[in-house]
Amino acid sequence: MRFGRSPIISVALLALTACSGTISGGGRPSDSSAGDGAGPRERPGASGDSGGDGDGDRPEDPMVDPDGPGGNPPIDCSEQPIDPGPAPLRLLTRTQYVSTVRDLFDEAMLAESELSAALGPATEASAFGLVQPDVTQVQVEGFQKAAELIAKTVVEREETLDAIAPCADGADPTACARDVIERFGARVYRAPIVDEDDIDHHVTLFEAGASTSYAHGIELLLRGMLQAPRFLYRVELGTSERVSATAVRLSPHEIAARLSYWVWGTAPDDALIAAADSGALDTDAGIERQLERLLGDPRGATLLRRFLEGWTHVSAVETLVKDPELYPAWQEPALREAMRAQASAFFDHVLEEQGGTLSALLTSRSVLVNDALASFYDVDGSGEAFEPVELPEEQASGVLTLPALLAILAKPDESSPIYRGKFVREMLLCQQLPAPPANIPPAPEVEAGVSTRERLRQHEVDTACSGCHQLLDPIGFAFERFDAIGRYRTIDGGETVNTNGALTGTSDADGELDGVAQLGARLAQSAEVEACMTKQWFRFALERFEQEIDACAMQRLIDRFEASGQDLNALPTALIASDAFLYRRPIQSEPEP
Amino acid sequence: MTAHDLRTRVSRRKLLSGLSLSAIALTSPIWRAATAFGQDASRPAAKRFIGIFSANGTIASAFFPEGDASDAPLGALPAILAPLDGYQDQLMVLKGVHMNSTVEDELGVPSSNKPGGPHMKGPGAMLTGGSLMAGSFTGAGGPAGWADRISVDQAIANRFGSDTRFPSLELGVRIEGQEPLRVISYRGANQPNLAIDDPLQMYDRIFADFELSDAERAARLAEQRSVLDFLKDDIARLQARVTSEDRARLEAHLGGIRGIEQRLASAAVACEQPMKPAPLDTRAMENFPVVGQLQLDLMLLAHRCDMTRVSTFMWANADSWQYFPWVGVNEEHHELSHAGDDDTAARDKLIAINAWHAEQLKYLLDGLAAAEEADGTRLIDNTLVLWGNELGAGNSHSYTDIPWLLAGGAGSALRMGRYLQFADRPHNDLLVSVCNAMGMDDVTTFGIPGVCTGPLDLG
Repeated sequence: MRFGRSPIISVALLALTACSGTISGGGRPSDSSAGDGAGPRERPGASGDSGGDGDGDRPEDPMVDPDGPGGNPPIDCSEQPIDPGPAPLRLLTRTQYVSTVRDLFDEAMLAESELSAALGPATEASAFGLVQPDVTQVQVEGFQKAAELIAKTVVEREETLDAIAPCADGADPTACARDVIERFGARVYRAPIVDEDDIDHHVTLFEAGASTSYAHGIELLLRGMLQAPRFLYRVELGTSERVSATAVRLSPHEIAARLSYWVWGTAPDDALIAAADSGALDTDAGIERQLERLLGDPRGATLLRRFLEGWTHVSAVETLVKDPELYPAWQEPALREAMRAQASAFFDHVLEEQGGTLSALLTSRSVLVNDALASFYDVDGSGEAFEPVELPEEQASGVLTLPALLAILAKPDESSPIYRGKFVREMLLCQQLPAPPANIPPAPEVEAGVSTRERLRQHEVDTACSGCHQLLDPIGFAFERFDAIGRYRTIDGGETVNTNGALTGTSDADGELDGVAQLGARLAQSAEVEACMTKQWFRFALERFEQEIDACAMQRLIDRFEASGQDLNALPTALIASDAFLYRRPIQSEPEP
Repeated sequence: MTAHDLRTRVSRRKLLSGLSLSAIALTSPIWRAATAFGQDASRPAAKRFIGIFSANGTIASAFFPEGDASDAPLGALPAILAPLDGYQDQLMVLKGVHMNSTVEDELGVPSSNKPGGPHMKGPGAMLTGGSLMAGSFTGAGGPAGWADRISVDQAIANRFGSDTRFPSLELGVRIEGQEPLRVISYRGANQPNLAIDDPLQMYDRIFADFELSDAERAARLAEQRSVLDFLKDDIARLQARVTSEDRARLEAHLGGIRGIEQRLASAAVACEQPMKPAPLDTRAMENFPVVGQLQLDLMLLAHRCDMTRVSTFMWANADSWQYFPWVGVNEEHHELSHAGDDDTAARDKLIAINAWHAEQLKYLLDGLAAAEEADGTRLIDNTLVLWGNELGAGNSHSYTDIPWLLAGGAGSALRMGRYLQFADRPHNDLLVSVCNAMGMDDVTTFGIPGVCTGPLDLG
């Protein structure tokens, strides 16, 4: 099995050489930057569809395979030493930061908008945010502002101050502060503060403010702690308990933080901390019990949905621009918001009502409709809540026919077989596409009476185009019954829509097809799609790219996924048994720079 | 221009909701003609650097003047540069300076497998002279990460930025897309300086604590110092326990803490605070010119008030899909840039887009020319502006003949008013010349050392 580089070249080398002058003799995949062939925005295709080294891997340690794809000898997983791979410090994401603060303090204390304003600009990360750069000056300034705001708000609210930093009348303020540091500090840092010297260093900060008042000392202390790296980053030092030359166990509190940030996107709760303290997280069974509890909580129930949303990047629909004359309804945010919500409702429906299978994700004929989308589907609305409606197979094929996704994978004024084909290649098959050639002839203007398919005919005739576009357009044509906003149609350019297409360049799903339902069915049977799906999950869950050393972990993940009948709901439990989740590399064995 | 005018120019795909320009201009009393603040009249005025990025390449025949001479006075300006007419003496157009180091290895040998798509490579290389690291963003030659080294603006800021409130400021308009498309300024490998593209946020940042009295400021300073000392100590403690890689990440964090310290330590800025711009939708396609002008105003203000001496400005991200209906372009810039050379309609639109950017540069130069330094020179005389692009030509993704334009006086370090044509020089050499012009004479290579051939002769 291959990791990192995508396999497309091995199956389509001849086609690619016709594609672009920029391709080297080695048949390396070339450009697929955000705009080229991928459309104008950060499309779902941007979400990390091909390998590379994970976050924090410095340039001297790239995982790029210089030989391109080829036959790696099979790995004997029974003899592989445990190696959890890299696990660099990760800065809390904006969402994690906000949730953590709201859990640490009284939730009503600060509106999310106030906190966000203090933190400054946030950019939604593409590619699951796997490539985390070093912190920026503006971010550090934002953390300072936010910490000042939080600390000030805490001490101004008597009940909050009493809750986190109680100090009885006549008690020694410094003793009170020590207690706050040990007790509340353990919550802020997601780990006990054990070192006396460490506590003293916090006391010094308290005392700098305590000359004014106890409350002011606490304010200063909080300002410091909320800017300390142990709060802002997810720090994992590991324990001294070695399980192999390249792995040590994580501490129970580190396991707890991994679980809670992964499943809930926030710091561990009381029960999880208690489990860490009691030794309940020292066994796989104990960890699994906690995972079950977290998944059963409303916050955890959204884990897989969040994965699917991040993978498809459906939130992009909310700011999508469409031609106002062709799509007047699009100009109202209500439709876009409904589509965004529908995508979430659909994912929930697949996960909860349809067995969570990969097949349901790709082929389900259930469409979630509420009154905002009733006219879009030409069915009767049923109030604000989404209700499943079964549509004929040519009108619905799971995620492939979600209007939010189809609208993202389209131009402002027409459908785009190219973007849709690219989505299937990159996001469902984990393949990588080459660059468009120089001097592209002007695209034919969109005009009534000419179908999109007709306009793309040039790609078949012009050899400069056909190399790449034969990989894209025939897949995309299967989607042609869906227009630029994902609405079902039977006529385009005055003609009956032709949805004949083909899937090529895959290991096990090639062949002619007609319509999106056939495409969905074909993909649902494919082992390549199954492997791609688990790969995406691995990246999302472990917040890094798979590497050669993860081959066995990936294979186990696929095996477990298969054993569950390809139930997406089985993915979380399948993952926590992996080396990468339970261990980290010992710090002292890391090479010096 | 009123909102109404703007609308009537938009044809079928009118994407404008309309917003009156007059409602949101920065109303600064010190704005039009005033002395730059905070400088010592007895010393020569400080040099300044401004880097400007625009996207998707140029139309060479409308950017480079006519003639074959390797060194010619700058006369009539071609269509794209025409808006800058009158500034010839303050401009230098450079032809034959490529950015091939984006696709060459450390020794300058062409290498097809550098990470990143062609649009993505450009911004990472423009000011760094380096290339993108491997990462997770889709692109040619393997998925890309962030750039692998420091950019020239930060090298300058490291040398000269410690006297001002901000060592550097990074601004822009509508910067979107996959992350490496969004950044030209880097403090080092994997250390992007993401620009702020919202003028309200930029305003809040540069005018933070402006209203405080001296006493309040002193009290605040003392407290902040305690916190910063705590943090420095805390970071050092953690650094001792983590991997070398994480130590570097924490070192970057420490750099941010030091940046805050520097701001505290810098003298109060004797500048009057302008009114805060009214809220506006900075993400809206049609607000591009309005947001751009507000951001230029803030950048000019920061220089005039000597809050910074180094800044960069991004007109959208690389690979920009911006529409420019106010100059008759109702298509995505990027898509248009792929049109063939014989597509005259597309060519005219691309010229209009690039000329519009030149017009914005003129606005910046006007602002710099209107401000006098304490020593009697004008801000423009001491500033070096470098305008570059991610590509030479958009439709071939070429890195040759990048449309480089230098503007300003750089304190007389460069002989401006010329059109220079080189025989295929790497832009690393240009970056060396920029450093030298800024007074960093010890700089002999920039970016990938192996591709450097010595500074360009711009003197």
